[in-house]
Parts: sequence; structure tokens; C-alpha cells
Amino acid sequence: MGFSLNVSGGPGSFKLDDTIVTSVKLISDTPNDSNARSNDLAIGLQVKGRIIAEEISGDPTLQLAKWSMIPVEEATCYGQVTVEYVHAGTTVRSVEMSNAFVVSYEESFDNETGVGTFDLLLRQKKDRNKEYKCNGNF
Amino acid sequence: MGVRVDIDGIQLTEKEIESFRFISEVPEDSNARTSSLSATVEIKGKILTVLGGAESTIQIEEWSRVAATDANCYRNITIKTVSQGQVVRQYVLTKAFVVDYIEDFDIEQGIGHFTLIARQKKDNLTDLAITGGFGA
Repeated sequence: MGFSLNVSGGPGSFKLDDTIVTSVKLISDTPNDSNARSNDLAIGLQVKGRIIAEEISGDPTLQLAKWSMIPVEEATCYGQVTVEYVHAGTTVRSVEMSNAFVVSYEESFDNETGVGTFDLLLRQKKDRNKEYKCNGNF
Repeated sequence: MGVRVDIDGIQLTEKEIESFRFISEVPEDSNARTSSLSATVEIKGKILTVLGGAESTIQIEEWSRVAATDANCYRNITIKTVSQGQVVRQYVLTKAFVVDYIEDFDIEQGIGHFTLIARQKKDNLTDLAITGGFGA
């Protein structure tokens, strides 16, 4: 079982593999006080993982921290993201976001564990919701 | 107690479903009975990795992204809770829409988990049928 997260486009190209990513959450969210199906659909992706110090190859989570600080005036604040979750030779989920932006990004460090952790919340740009793809079972 | 769900042909059984809640509520700050009644169902379960086959939760994921402009965003949901050969409760929602749908995967367990929150369209509230106490 493993995850892979690929980011390309605006924030630069980098990859987080299953040594880094520990959990992924896919979220389809409409307002909870709605009486009927709402057009206000937010499609999000929450990724949690470890921040591992790499002396030679560099730490790809640093790119996430930099991405989260890109202001909206820059065209590079939107990126393409693909996430795959593979288990027992089966791709259970393969998600493609064509215009993803960072909603929130947190990094935590403490004096007990040797690695830090991060919590990244991404969302597809709402007017591009139709370009979001989620496949599985292949 | 086993829970069986049918969403217009998407079948989920006690193999996948871990918990089910039916919630009928009016605003909590109400001084008298209000007509602002809502009926919501919450279904939680497992996303099983099926080797060489298809598992059906991905179809719920697709449903959760159907736009409000598409008639297909409303579906029929039948939920049965079964125990000792008896259907304890059967809920039939005729015009149900997805409020939230969440999928969770982590490195500790070999399976994923989903949470579906669906609601009966408010103007069709009286079509919702709750029955029970018959043979499964």
C-alpha cells in the first residue's frame, strides 16, 4: 500500500512518495444547511505526512511550504496535482486536479520525534471543478 | 446488526458499511415546532480493495461531484437495517442529494474509509418512507 503525490505547473515539479505521505483524505463538500443540492461544491484534498531531513536530494516538502506562500497575484499559485493510492497491485484511487490551490498548510515540529509533520489542504479552483478527475479499481 | 444500502443500483452491504445514522431535525433555537424540518442520513463504511473486480464506493464519489444543474444529482436511497432475519427499519429516500462525501486513506490500515451525508430534498420530505418489522 502506498501513496504518491505529484505536483507540477506553477509551484514547480516535485514528488512525494509513500515514505513521506501518511494519509490522504478526499472531500466533496457542499453547505451543510442546504435544503436541496447546491451548486456551491468544494472539492478538496487533505494530505498529511512526514518532514524527513534529506542531506543530498533535498526535502520535497520544502516546496510545499514555498507553494503555500505564493501570493494570488502570481500565476504560479495554481498547480496540477495527481494523487495515487495503490494497494495490493490495484490502484484504488487516482485523483487529478488541474487547478489546485493551497487552502492551508501547517508544519509541526517537537522535541520528541526525529521528524516533523505537515498537513496540507488543497482545493480545486471552483470554476474548474469539471476538470477534476477521480478514477479507481485498475 | 447489518446495514444494506441501495443507491439507484449502487449496492453496499454489511461487508462495507460500519455505521448508519438517521437524523431528523428542526432548528435548535426554535420556540415551537417549525416547518423547517430536514431528514439526513449518514453512512460510514470501508473502501475495500477488491482484487480483480470493482468496488462500488467510487460510484458514490462520482455522484458526490454531479452538478446541481444535472437531474442525476438526486437519487433514490433505500437503507435497511437487518437483524435476526427481520428488517428492523427500512428508510426510502426518493429525492436524496449529497451534502458531504469524504474518503480517508492512511498508511496504517489496508483499507480506506468513507463518510456519506445525504439529505432528502426538502419539498419532497413527505415522500420519505420509514417502515420496519418485516421479514428480510
